[in-house]
Amino acid sequence: MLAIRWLCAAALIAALCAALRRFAHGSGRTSRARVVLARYASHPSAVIALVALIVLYVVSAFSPWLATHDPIEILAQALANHPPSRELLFGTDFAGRDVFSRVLYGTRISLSVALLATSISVVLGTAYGATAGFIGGTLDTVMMRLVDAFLSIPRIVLLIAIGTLWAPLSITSLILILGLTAWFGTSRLVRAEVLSLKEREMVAAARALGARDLAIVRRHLLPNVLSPVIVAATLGVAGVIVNEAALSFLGIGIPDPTPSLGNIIHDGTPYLATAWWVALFPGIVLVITALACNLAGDGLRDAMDPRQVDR
Amino acid sequence: MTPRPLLSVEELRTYFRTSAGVARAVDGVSFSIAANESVGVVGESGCGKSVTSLSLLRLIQRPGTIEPGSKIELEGTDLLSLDDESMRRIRGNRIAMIFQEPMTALNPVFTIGAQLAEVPRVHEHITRRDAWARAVEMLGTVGIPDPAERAHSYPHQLSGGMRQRVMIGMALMLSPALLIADEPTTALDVTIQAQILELLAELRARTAMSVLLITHDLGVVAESTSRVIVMYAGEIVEQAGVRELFAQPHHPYTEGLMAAMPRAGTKRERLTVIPGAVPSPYEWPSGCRFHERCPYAWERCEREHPPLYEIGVGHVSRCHLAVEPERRATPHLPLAARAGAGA
Amino acid sequence: MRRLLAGRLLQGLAVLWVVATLTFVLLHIAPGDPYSYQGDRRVAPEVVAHWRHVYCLDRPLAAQYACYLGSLARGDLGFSISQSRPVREILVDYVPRTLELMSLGLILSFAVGIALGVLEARHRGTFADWGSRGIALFFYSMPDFWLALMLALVFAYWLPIFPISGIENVIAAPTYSGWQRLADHLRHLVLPVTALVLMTCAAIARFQRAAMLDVIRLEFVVAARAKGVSESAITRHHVLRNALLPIITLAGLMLPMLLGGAVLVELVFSWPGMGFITAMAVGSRDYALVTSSVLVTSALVVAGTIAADLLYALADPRVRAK
Repeated sequence: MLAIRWLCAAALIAALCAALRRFAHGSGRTSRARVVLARYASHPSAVIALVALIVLYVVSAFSPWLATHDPIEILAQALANHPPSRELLFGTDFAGRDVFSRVLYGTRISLSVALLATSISVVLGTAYGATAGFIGGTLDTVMMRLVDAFLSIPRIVLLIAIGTLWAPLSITSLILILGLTAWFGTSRLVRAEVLSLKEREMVAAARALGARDLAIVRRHLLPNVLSPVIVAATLGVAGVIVNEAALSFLGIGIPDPTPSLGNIIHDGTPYLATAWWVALFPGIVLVITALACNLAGDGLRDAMDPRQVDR
Repeated sequence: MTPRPLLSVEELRTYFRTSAGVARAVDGVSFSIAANESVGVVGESGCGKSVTSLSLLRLIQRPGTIEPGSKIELEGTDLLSLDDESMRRIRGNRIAMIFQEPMTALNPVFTIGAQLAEVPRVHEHITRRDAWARAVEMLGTVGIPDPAERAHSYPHQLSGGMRQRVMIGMALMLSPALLIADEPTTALDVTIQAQILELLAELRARTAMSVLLITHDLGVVAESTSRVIVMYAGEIVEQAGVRELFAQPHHPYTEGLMAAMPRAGTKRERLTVIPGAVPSPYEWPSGCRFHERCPYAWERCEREHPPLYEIGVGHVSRCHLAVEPERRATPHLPLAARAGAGA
Repeated sequence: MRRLLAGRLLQGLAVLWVVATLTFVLLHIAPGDPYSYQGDRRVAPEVVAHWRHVYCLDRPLAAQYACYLGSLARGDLGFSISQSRPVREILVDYVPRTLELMSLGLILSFAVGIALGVLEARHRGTFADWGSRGIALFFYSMPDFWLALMLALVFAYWLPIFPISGIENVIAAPTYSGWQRLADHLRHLVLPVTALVLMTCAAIARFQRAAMLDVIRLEFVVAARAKGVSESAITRHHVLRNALLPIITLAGLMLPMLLGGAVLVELVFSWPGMGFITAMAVGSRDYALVTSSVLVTSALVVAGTIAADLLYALADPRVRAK
């Protein structure tokens, strides 16, 4: 049964990849999206990263079907810290829970938290940066000095402080806090882009009398701001997922017994010497996720911004 | 018979092989320079002047290559067969080069004295102190006031004209046999331009070196060279003594360049420009590469690539007008202008 | 130069003021106050009342704010309930350990990162370039705490080469001579510093590579070749000297990441530094200690950035002249 499920997942991915390739190399009018896609497809590492992300996403979406055991149920006290075997692929943790199933569900939770938190930070950062850049003047200066101040605090230290003050955090507030502390960099990017566009657009706007501010924003600003934001978001997911894991590792992230990649590692840490598998496997998934996000982000940057082409 | 030239270039081809195709930037160029001669190379940007000059020093970087069959001979040595180390010893020593924009051609983080002193230090066994003394001496030669003091300046602390003097000094440190000057005055004010050209002429007279002056400005060529090579689309299209060329330009492209040149004393409504632009080196036009922009072009020009016709003593031109001179009487609107008007 | 320094110091103070205000706001909106939470510890009500009074928590908000900034200005960071002593005293004990780890990590990761970046730029497009960048990105993507855990697993448990925790061998250290003691201490430093270097050198190498490639395209490189300077001298002399300038700025920008990483690395290796003590304060919900660590890390970052700016101004003749 398990094999069939994996096979289905694999087939789905293969189909997706084929569709992507067809779309990128298909004939017809070359749109910007197609050019970007074709350039993205020319980076083998970026394509592998995209596939890895799709696999991760699909696997986590289907975790209830792919899991071999209940992630929370304690199998048996006797099965505590059981090494990996054919039955228990990743072994069990100190409480006798199946690590493989916990990792599957944990990936789902960690990915969802990271995606939601990144969405919050992207929206906030874009709005903040666009406001500062578009209005300019003193407001811009003040807003950017604030960002400087926030950026001077190591993010994990800020997260630890907030986590301590409000412990225990619910998942919702965890998402909020991760999102609220991840937008500083994005806002800087967006502001810089808005400023340079303003410079160019003002000239054009003076010529084409009657162009409204709002129309400029919609027609020229947003599409151009979109590329750096998408790149920042992709890289941001990597950062957020690692920070969430760090918080859970410290015991102030996602509360037990709900699995997340971070708190599975947390559970395994005291038994590292004897039951290394508990901390190892969720970490590998974390690395793959972060690495894939970083590679995909790099690929997107090269594909969308010809100025930054790797020489 | 003319004596053996200092530099002779035969069938020089420099191609850039990229994913977009092969760019034939320099496509079969032959010329020579005698000792103590000053030769000008003119043409619009994109016609292969700079690639030619970089090829002479073998400074073409990937994906560019000098194609087999090309030949560059300096003082009887075949430069293209030298190994990298021997070639390195020629650069800055027998052939030196100065660049258009001295601000970017000088390293911003080193003093100008150090940059001048570097030349003898990489070519000769010489102490740091001796090299510095020679750098200071050279700065004086190229007209930098207070050279001992100035040697400690950084490039950004000098004016544009001074920086170009530094560049020239750097090139002349080891008294090269050939100086390649790539647009040496383009970035400068008109008055400074004249001073720099004067300095070059004076130094040439004193050291018996040859100068290859690359420029898009016919005025500069008229003032400071004895022979002119006109390049277009990777080829030489006309070559003549400077007086002959200005008195009787033959190639329509040369005519066009001259018509586009502002002249003191003549009042003109507006300067004529050659319609269209230099075509892409990835696909030079068939036949005569200039035919789309030429006011005399006829059917033969589209079909047949013209050879360099000998039309006078030391005067060659790559134009079919050499054999059908009557066509010059009936100019028409060039193809490029018609296409431009239609668009 | 002096004006630049004064300007940057003023900016730094402004940043710290914003951060202090942020921690004040956080403390204010958080449930309870630094001295009300007692957990499973018994703290006498009189003691709590005493500290609440000292830090003005029984006064109106504006007065609390003024009082907070005032005590910070005096260097008074509050009283730690979990350790029953002033936060400043705790930090005086623990911050030097963090600085030791950080400065070693910073120096080594820049040495490794710059060397890698130069090699990658020199051999760009080759297998070595791709491989080096791939491996570096791999370590860069690793969560810092997990990287530290794996180092501990491999080099302390499986191959017991290095000690797993602490700063010295507590039992044997008193019997050691000076040199033995130093060697023992260095052995304890290896794993935490390696973790810091592995997680940061990728970013540095990448930046250095890009900076080198930016400089390589500039005309003075062609001009140097035309002078007859050899390729290796161009890389070592002309290109590296220019490409090192942006790296100085990067050092300032990397500090938050390095400090953040140090927090978790210290926890994993029980390295008694600020990160370790902060992580310990989480469990006991020691408000004063965790918010102080926000302030102190941010102050370290600000100081580092100012130092980087000054260094840049000294290293770049174009800025130095102004």
